[in-house]
Amino acid sequence: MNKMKLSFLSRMENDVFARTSAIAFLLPLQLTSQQVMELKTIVSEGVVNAMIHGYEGQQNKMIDLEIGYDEHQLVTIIITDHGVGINDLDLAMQPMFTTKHELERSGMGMNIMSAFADSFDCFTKVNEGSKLVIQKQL
Amino acid sequence: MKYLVEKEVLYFYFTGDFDYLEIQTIKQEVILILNETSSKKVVFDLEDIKFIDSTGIGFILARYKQLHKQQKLLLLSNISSENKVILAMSGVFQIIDLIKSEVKP
Ligand SMILES: Nc1ncnc2c1ncn2[C@@H]1O[C@H](COP(=O)(O)OP(=O)(O)O)[C@@H](O)[C@H]1O
Ligand SMILES: [Mg+2]
Repeated sequence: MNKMKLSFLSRMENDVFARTSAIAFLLPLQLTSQQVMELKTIVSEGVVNAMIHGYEGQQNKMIDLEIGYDEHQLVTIIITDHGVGINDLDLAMQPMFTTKHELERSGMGMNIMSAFADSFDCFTKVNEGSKLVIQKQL
Repeated sequence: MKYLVEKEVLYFYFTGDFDYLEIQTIKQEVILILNETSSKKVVFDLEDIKFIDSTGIGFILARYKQLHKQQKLLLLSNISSENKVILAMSGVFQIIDLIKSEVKP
């Protein structure tokens, strides 16, 4: 029923840009504060993973964020990077698993996203990148 | 970020978001203060934190471990009910206790 797409550089300050833009776009849906918190978290986890893991901290790469919703209040969020990809997705989905311990990562991002979503899919290929497709029924 | 010591307890008052950018900004200073403090007990007051993601959780857990190594205790206080959801989900409260603190800067 409505959709948008944003492309932005993998710069740290674009994390807050991405999540607040997502909420601004979804404003017509009259979200509860709990839903706002969950949607912001989903977007931030996905975007920060693209920055830190997908692009390994390089700040000059592009991340795409697409958001759509239909007449049944089903929200779809798609986050794409063209970075390193994920070698072992099952492992990446394990709570507290992180490949960046030295950066004090908690390894909870993938779990938090899937817990706040109604469906969570990750399509990834090593050296090509990752695409998260997340749906949330409001 | 403000901090103060009262009755030998070190209190930190964080504001804004516990996200990738803001954690990056405060991390080194907090690490330094925690390494130098003589307080055995540290409280992170999160009342003015609006948003926490897994980067923020990683920061809290890392500071807990840092203090634990020096036989010091970290406590969290005044967390909003929304932020509690994500901290509980990540198992933070299985390691770090939550208190209600009236001490304010
Ligand atoms: N977009 C991505 N590109 C490459 N690797 C990723 C991506 N997203 C997640 N990963 C991998 O999955 C692991 C787990 O991610 P997550 O649960 O968010 O924890 P954290 O970000 O704290 O490491 C990461 O450590 C990383 O190895
Ligand atoms: Mg993550």
